[in-house]
Amino acid sequence: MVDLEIPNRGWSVRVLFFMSLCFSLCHGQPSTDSSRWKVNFPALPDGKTSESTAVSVNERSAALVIVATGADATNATLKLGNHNVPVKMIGYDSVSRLGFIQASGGIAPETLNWSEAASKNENAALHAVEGGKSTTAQCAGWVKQVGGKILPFALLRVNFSQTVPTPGTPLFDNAERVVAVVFQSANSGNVGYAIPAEAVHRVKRDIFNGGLLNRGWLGIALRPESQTPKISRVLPGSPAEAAGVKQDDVLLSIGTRQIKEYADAANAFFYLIPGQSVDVKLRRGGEQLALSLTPIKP
Amino acid sequence: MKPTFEQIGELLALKRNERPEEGYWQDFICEFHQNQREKSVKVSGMKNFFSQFSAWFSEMGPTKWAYGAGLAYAAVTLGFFLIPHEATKENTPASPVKYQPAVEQLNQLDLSPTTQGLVGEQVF
Amino acid sequence: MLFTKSIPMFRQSRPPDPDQELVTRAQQGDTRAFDALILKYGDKLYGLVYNMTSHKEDTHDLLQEIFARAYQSLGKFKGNSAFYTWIYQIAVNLTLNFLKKRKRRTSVSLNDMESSVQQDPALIDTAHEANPEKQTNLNELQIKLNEALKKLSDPHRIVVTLFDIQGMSHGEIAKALSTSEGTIRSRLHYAHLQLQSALQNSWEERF
Repeated sequence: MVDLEIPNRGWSVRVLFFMSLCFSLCHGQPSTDSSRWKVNFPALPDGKTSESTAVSVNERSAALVIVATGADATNATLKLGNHNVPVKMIGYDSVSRLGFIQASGGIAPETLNWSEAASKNENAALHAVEGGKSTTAQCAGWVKQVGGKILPFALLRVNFSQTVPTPGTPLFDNAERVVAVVFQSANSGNVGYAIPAEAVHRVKRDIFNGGLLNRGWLGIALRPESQTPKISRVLPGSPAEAAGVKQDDVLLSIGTRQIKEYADAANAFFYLIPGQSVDVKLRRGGEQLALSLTPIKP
Repeated sequence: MKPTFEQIGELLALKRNERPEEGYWQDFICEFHQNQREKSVKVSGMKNFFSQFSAWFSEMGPTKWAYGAGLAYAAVTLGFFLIPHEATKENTPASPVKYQPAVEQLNQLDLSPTTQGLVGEQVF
Repeated sequence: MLFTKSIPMFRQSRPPDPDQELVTRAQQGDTRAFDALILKYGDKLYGLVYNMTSHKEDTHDLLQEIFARAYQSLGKFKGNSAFYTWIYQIAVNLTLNFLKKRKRRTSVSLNDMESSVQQDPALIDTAHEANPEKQTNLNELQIKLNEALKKLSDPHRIVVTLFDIQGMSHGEIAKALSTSEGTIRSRLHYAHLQLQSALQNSWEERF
């Protein structure tokens, strides 16, 4: 299906539509199947190149790509079959390494069904679709830290039946909804890490409304080395102070996310949206408190 | 009924999936490099020490023999006090010294082993 | 005096070492290249050492020693064998030496890995939810298997580890252990007989 953004204005559009259709028909419609898109990013100085496939995000004819560290996100090239297609980067987030591109010439990726959030079922059966081919996979839980380093948000660990697909490959559940996108191989057998759908939605929301991810800031300090998610400091004049949070309060939940350790808190904080209040449950001494906090832009 | 060799092979092949916990190798590589750095510091330290010591020793005249005898006596006496005796050995269990990396917070998804994250208090 | 040199009729060609580039870079001082080799072979060597020592901490310390030895000897590696074979030789030698020196521990720790084995999603029987009894039987068999493995002598346990668990060929194992393929085959046969008889009772309980 070829989607035209611009209204029908005359000859140039009809010619463009006809050319796109011919192109699509000749190549079995690779231009619309984003799983066949090959997006490359050149290396930054002292960096390295990055390759990604793409996933449609159903908005602005855009597709999601992964830009690995060390690659230049501003110079994407898209290859469909043997053809290079000019592409524009709408926006890119360096925290999640997610980029959103638009192909020129009216070439748009097909519409996909997206889940709101990745399944919490540890044994969830998934399948990855790359280059039009499907590979089975199995969700194997959340990964909150790698190599002793806490991640900015939790990733999914996925066991693939074959080699880990290219970064950017979508992972579908049995209802054919995209639940996650392959981020990279875990360098251990056929195990990979994937960015969950909720993280994609969070980043896309801000990228499509200004081009940058705006974190929600509360003014709460925590120490990663602490065994419990205890607040080590509340910054003066912060939303946390205004809501009545105090030093040594222990976080129990942020919104719907339960907090058992520091890494859970780091993950929950990633999803805060400036101006959108969130219910936070805390333990103070023997008491349990429920407060409403409204994050602001940092 | 005995399992066949093939069945035993299949059971053993399940153990192929056994591997260490998530992130083990990133920690392992950090410790590995730390050990290599410590070794090279020790080796160059010892090299420097011996070259300086032999230079100092050779510059002295016949008095070096008196110094040598004194050092030998001191080494024996020190050894007597430092070498653990049977009675105290059991009371001092060996505790392995293990490299404990600081807990780091990554502010972007960069999972390579050499990535440096932020340490200490984090503000959200 | 005349010397005659016999020229072999056939030169046996070896396939190129897939790690040649990484090894060359590591020999030139590129530590990231050596890190990549650690990541590439780490899990396999972990499996080898752990199945031989049955102890996590010893496994960790031995692996540090194995990779340190490989790193320090990298300059002497001439590519006469694949890097993979070479590092396996180092691992086998250091592990067997370690086992000879180690005093027998009374605590059983191979089974402390059983909990991680059970949690490993790759091992979880996807039919477990429909048949939890099947999963329980499998775990019990794995425990019995570990006990039987520990009872094998070191030379027999190592061939089972390399062949059945790591999936190496007889030829590769023979190179790693610097012995003949015939020796490997007969050790394997004997070890399988031992395991077969050790599992006999537990096998019957499954049915």
